[in-house]
Amino acid sequence: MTYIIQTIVIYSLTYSIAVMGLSLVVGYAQIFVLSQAAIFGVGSFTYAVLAGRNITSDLLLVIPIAIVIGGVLSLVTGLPLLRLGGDYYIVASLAFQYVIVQGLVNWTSLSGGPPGLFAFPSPTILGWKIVSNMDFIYVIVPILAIALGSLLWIRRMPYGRALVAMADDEVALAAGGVRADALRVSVFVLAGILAAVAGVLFTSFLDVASPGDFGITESILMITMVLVGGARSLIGPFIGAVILASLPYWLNLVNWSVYMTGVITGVLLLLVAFFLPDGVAGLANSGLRQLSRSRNRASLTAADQGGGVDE
Amino acid sequence: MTPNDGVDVRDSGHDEPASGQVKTESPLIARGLFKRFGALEVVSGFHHELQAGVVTGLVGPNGAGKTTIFNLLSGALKPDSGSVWLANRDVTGTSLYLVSRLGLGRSFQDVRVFPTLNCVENCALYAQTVQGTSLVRTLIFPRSTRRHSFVARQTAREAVAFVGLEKAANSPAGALSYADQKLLAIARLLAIGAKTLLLDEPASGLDRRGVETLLGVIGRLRDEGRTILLIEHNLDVVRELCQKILFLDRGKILAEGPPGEVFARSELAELYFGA
Repeated sequence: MTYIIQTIVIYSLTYSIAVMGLSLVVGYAQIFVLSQAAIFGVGSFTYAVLAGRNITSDLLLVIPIAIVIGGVLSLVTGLPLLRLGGDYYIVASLAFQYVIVQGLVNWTSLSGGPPGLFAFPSPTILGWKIVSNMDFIYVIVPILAIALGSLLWIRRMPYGRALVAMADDEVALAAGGVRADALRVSVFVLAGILAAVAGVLFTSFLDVASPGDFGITESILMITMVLVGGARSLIGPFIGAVILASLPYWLNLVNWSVYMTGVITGVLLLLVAFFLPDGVAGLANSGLRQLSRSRNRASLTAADQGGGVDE
Repeated sequence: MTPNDGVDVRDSGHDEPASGQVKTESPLIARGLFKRFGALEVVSGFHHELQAGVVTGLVGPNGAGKTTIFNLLSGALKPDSGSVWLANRDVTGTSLYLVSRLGLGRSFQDVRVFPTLNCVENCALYAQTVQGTSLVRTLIFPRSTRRHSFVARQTAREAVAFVGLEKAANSPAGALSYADQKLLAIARLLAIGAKTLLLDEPASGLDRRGVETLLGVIGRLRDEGRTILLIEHNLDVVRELCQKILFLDRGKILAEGPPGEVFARSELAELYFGA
């Protein structure tokens, strides 16, 4: 693998982790969250501060700490979900996005202000230094696998069934003794935790943590990844992350400006909203279904005619 | 059973809430419920102790406040005044999910099954314990979660079988006929383990065969000793199922007693049929 491909892989996988939980929030709780990048940033600064101050750069320590910080922060920002319905929460999450990022910018002693922090000791795992791109891939792939496995498990268990039911009918869910608001908050916290973990990976790889990287544009980019891939599919966010995280490289390849990323992201978001409500994963699914249906039809007609055509 | 088997016509001054906390056998008690939407008083002094093990019908013309009373009893709405007691606990205006956990099952006029889940899943969700749908427990205690899920599915299958939907057990609820969705809605309430059932127009929109199946199911529930309060416009269904009916108009009970006697009263029949 060339260096550039490795970098694309690392980016895509990191963003996949960042938006996997978000897809459940968008797909089942049906809330648009515009503060995901802020939580991602908090994870990033968790690594920056811990490693930069030589406290620890062992991912086995940093990641759990980021999980706690990201989880608590998500819980605090998610509590309004107990009262606010989906549409109103968009505004609330926008406010949280600004408060968190501006908080980071202004807490100069911690975050280094607008330029942020850079040049940290290499991340380690039990003394093993993670240096090369391939090292990072070896670290990210198992983390992604654990995250995917957990989500797969959750989906199959009653909690996941309750999420589907919540999207169908919240009142009927309550009549069965299940609290829809508790489901919403918990799935929101799960999304935040995964974003924080991804933030740690992001900064430990890039060696930079700058508040400018976690603005509202990034939050919109993350929502777009979810929608392009397909919010309700397990693999959808992964597809979306691969397409959008690698976009700057493809643009570079055809000598377009990197600033076109924003334009293309916006256009993609519109196209998906109008034509692909279930995202790319949904498209693939219905394609497969169509294929099997036409095959079934073919075999049916063959049977009707008392035997098929010899091949 | 109360000794009062005759028709008891009440005047409006008779509906004051009983005070004190008297232990009774009644699984569900409404004490002087009032509910106003803007200028309209929809429920005005609904007062009733549901008789255990009996099917009670709540009848009355459209707009009499029947569904609002269901919403008040099931915790979905908070009354302006008055109280609701479920198994000797004050549950006034708590919330739908809490009242459900305390053993009150409530169905909806518009069915509200989960269309994308199959029948067993629909019921299993209702059979689920509080722990079963906790995210933290699902992630940290996978074995116990799976056990909870297994038990809930077992209960769900029994409930699905009770209403005779075994053959459709694994098809998505959205693909069922309207009649079967209505049966599934009742199966869900059984899956909760609810001893007291509030059924909102269980027979509406069903053809004769559908009604017959439904009568069988509700009859068996009655024979099991469950307490049922049902809203129903189909008077054949009411006569067949209910030992007692409450005739409601403008938010209060005008008359109560066995269906034959209540419907024999010409002024009530006029109110109901608009003659």
